[in-house]
Amino acid sequence: MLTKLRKRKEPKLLKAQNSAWRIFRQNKAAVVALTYIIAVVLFCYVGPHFYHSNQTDAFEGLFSTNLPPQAGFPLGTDDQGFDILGRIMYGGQTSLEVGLLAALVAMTWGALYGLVSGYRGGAIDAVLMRIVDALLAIPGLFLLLALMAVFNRSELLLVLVLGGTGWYGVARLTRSEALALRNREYVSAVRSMGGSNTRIIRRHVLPNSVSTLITVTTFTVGDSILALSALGFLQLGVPLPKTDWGTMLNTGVQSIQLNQWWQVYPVAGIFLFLVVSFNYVGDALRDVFEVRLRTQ
Amino acid sequence: MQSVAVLFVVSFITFIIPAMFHGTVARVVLGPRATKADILEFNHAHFFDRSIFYQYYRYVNDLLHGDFGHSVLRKTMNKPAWEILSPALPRTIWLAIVPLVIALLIAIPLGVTQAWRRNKAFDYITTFISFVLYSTPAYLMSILAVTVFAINFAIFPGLIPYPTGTGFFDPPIFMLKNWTAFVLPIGSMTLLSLAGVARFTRGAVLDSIVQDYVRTARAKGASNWRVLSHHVLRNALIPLVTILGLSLPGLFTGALITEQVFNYPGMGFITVSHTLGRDIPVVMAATLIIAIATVIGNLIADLALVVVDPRIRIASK
Repeated sequence: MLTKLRKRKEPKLLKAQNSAWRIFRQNKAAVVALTYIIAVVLFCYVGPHFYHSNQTDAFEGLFSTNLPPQAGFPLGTDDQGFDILGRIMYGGQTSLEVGLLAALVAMTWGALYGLVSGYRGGAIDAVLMRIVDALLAIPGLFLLLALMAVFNRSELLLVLVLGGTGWYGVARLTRSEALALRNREYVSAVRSMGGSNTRIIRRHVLPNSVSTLITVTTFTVGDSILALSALGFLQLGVPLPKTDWGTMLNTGVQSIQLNQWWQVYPVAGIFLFLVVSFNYVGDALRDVFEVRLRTQ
Repeated sequence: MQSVAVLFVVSFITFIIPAMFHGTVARVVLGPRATKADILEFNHAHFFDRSIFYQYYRYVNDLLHGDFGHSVLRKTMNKPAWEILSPALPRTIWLAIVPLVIALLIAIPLGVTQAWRRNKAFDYITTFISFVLYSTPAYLMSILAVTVFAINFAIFPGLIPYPTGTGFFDPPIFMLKNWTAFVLPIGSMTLLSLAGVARFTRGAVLDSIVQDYVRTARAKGASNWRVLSHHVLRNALIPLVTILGLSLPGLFTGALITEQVFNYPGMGFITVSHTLGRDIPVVMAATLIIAIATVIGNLIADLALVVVDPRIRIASK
């Protein structure tokens, strides 16, 4: 605590944004991870424009099921006869979209919840946080299963369900941030000048919590992609003919005993390193913002 | 006291999700030819025409009398959910605890070593490995384990035989008797929690290694080993115990997947099969029971905290 205070007294004169990027760049692993994420996004969205493959015609697929890698099918085909390289792009789009949207849902709701809880404080805070504690006591996948048992499967449902079970961390962090900011001098100053609560939250508390929010959202995207793949693996992912990486892994696993490795390893690899990358970038962002807090 | 509040909220969630559909239940159960009077009578018999608060009161009342609802799946029609789930609960609890204990035994020394040799090659390599392990989904880990050790090399069996016994202490005995079948599931679950615990231990040790009391201990002439075991680790353990309590839900999630891959009829396996069959009462009961188990686990972690941290003991006296 003492060391932190001492450092705060000697501010370094750096432009905030430049310094953020400079600090991020120093973390070589995070730069590699960020490059990888961008590459995967390009691969999934730009790839299909250059690499055409059958992803929807189940009839054409009948004649080409479970083929090993060969000319025409660089990574072989799956049990429906769909080309796996194209399938990875196609499924990747779903996984990325659902992951990102779910993280956004989680961030919006979690931030609102946390802001209200931390800013209002008192009894409201106590009740709201006990609810989060209670939700944290339910293992995530069980709650997901409970929701999937009730509603019909669709992409939108997956976004809502994953977002609806992924916001606890965001809420807790935003709350502690808001709780700390609430008693700062500048907030009191705004209030003494007659600034409304809305104005304080919008102009002062929220901008100061942005760094925390960005960091935690990065982790949430990775977590959502993981959770989606777990659901896909339990045959509760997006319905055919669409697919996601978890569903692909599930079909792949059923054929791995026949030594059809091409149905598992390419998806598993691309997917695993994507989630690792999100964790690395999140870690680096945390360092960036913590340092900025100290040099401010 | 707080745990009671937690359970209250959880029970409300498992009540409200299916309760949103109470209006349509009668039509589904009685079929398209039911008259309006039939439906009204059905709704009245099941209290669906009463207020939501009264329905929730009935629900909690039933729960407190040990009634977790009844199955609506054809195969297990009207069987009490508790009867379906109670043999599975100890299996899942043991499947979650045994890997956790093994992981702790490995991860604490590992995390301390990482912190001790921080920013050296050893730290970088193990950090990368734990990131990969941390990001690996439980199912991928189990599948890779099965592929390599059960199919390619055929050292261990890839499936667990059907367990016998329903008592709380039957699963560990069963595990010891069929230890070859449990090497892969327990091994892959250990690897999964290993990464998180090692990572956390590293952080906690790094936090306490820079404290003044460590410098004092060194100044007294304490050996490296004594500083680590008596001063650093003792303090690093305190947040670790709290984190362990919080990691319980994750462990149960991991167990769910592992059970699915290895065909072990624990809570997760049964919940998944009932989810696919849309057996909502049983799924809700399973969620509630697992949440209760988690709350009890957290209570135990709180008690362990008293043992680890003498300050709490003194404060509470």
